[in-house]
Amino acid sequence: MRTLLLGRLAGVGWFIGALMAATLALGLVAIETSIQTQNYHQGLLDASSHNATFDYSRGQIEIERLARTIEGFEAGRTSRERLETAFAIVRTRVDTIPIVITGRPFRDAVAAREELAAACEDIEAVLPFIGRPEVARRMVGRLDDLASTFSRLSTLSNAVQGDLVAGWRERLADALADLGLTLRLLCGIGFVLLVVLFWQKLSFRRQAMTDPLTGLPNRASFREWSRRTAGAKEIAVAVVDVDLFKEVNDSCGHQHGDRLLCDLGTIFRAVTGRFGEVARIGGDEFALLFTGAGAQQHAERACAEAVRRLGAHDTRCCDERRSTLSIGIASVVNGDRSVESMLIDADSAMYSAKNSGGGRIVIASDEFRNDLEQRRLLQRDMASAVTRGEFETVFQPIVEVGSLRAHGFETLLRWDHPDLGRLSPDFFIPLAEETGAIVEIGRFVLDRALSIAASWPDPLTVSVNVSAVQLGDKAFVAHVRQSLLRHDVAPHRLILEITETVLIRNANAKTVLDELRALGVGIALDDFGTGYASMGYLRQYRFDKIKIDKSFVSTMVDEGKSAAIVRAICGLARDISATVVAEGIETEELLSLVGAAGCELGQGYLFARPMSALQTTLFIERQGWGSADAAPRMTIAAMA
Amino acid sequence: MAITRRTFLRACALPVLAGPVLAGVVAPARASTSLDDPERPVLAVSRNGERLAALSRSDLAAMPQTRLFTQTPWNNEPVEYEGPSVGVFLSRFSGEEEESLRLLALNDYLVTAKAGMLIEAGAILAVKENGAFMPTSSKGPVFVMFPFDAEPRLQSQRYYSRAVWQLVAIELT
Repeated sequence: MRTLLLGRLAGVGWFIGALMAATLALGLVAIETSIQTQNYHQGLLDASSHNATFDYSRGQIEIERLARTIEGFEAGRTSRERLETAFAIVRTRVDTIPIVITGRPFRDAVAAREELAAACEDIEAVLPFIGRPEVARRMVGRLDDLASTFSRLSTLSNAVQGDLVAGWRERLADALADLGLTLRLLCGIGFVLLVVLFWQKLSFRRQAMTDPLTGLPNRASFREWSRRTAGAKEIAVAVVDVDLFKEVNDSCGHQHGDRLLCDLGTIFRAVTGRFGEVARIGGDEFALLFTGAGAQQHAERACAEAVRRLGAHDTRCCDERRSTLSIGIASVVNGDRSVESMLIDADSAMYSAKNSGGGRIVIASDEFRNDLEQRRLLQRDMASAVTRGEFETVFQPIVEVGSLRAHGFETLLRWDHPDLGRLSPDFFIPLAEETGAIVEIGRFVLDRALSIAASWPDPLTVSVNVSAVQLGDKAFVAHVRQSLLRHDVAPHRLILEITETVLIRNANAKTVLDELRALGVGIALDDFGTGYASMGYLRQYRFDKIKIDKSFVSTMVDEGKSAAIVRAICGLARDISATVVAEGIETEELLSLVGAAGCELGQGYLFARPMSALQTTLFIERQGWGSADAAPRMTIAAMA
Repeated sequence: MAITRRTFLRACALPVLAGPVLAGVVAPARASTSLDDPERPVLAVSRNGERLAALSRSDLAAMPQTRLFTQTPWNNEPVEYEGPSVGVFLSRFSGEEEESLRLLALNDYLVTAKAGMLIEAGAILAVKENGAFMPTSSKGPVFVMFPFDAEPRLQSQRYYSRAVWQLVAIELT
């Protein structure tokens, strides 16, 4: 379709080129013709600027008058003075007779002038005796002949000059006709050019508003619609994102990805029908817009239908995984919000759907928006929470299952929000990861944990959780090294706890872990058993500790399967020289079970809840860590 | 009122042509020179039939002169013409631009022209051609001349027809 459109445009380009060339050529012709017209006009002016015929006629009259004057003089009726005046008039004619008509010599006129000049000379010669009858008669006869010559000359020149003028006039008329034709052609071509350019502009505009792959309107179109919805009371916007689209592209090829998008375009077009419009607003993102009564219902129905049709549609590719959609819907019933802000909400809802595993429709209800707003406010507050001292570290002991002696402490973070009170890290750490504030918070925790652990007896370890964002921070390893040096804590006492997710989300995790290991810092794999629990990771990386998630541990009592898994993990850990920590030990029964399963270390409320730094110090003292030798076995009662 | 050859003769030429009848007019010794005497009144000026002046070539030559160097349809080579401009000439008779002039030549050639048109075109009443008074036998005594070369727009019948040679009378109306 794209090539077809381009081809059409290229064709138009050629056509426009031809039109422009024709315009240019015609323009040149018009200029040439107008120059010709000017020349012909000038020729016509020249031909008619001086009327020679008139001069010849005047000459004829003057010659005849001289003849009559001579007759009068000879008869004594006229004075010599008058004779001389009449002669002077004819003499002047010799000088003024035109012998050239529009630049060309007029032969008859030249001959007539010579005849006139000769006659004047003869008359001049005989002027003193002109009164004599025979002289007068001879001169009168000669002048009468001359008058006839001039008479003929005038009629001749009348025709010649007429021809000349007519010639110029014809040429001028032709040139003007040519000019008129050229101008009409120019106007015609100009009009066609305008039409084509206008059409081309429309087509470019259409192209700019259309997604070339699916043929759907694009984001620019969607923005345009947003303006059109002004005034509508009920509006619903749905944002649809294809789950794991990148993976589809990567594993099945872009062709398959493109086909999936095209199929989706067809599906969306079908399900929106006449109630709404659909646009492709991003790589794998579509937006649906519904206006009018029941917009939200239409949106929900259309989205549900799209999901159903996609399910029925064979979209599977090589890895047999079905494509699913994450959909966010935002709506308004009183028209008091702009489509842009609804789009943002729908987008957030879509992300929320995606974050909870995808393949879901989330409606950006008021509750959702409040929640979102709350999260944004918290993220804002978090930026300054470290400097305001709202964060607090607490420590939970990790105990040797066999001896019940403290082995170390896991550092946990609490946030005392001025308005919301104490907040759990499960709640605010994801928010901190979103904004990147986790890096600063993580440094604070590490710093605090090491400063406190520095005062503990030497063998006790301190565990600190590290998030994916922190691990991606380039300065992370350097900061760990500096913190260890600053607080003078032996590197082997620091255990960094990371989850599988951290490894998945960091391409260079191995490098960072190797560097940390080179420092002497211990690495623990946290929450093992909740994610992929991939054996691959255990082989790929070296872990000092494996922490079995409490969800496994807590079900050990009821489900034999869990116990078997825990046992298996413990066996596996022994093989790779890692120590297993069982989390969530809350009862004596569990303690004995994990002990029986082979776990060496345990953590849980049975031993202690997370404690402040001071309480931790007291806890350590109660355990008798005053000297390394006198380390009495503590009793459960003492710890509780 | 039309100027005819007769009125002209009555107004100006007749007394001259009639010989030494009028005092102050020198009778020519020879007929051939009598017409070309620079002192002889040759140009009659009248307004509505009332005679205002009869000017000789010397009178005209005594006015502030304008020189033109131009080709004309009646010369093959550029020629220098000299004489008072029409503007200067008419100022003697407190003429207005809107005034109509009737120019009469010795050969009964008569044309009318607006004073403004002649003045605007830079017309002069040439009495000299290449430095010498023009004889009556060659376009004299007075030749209305325009700067044709300097202004090509003047090269048209409109102005050629006003280039009157052998001018002998100007009537202002």
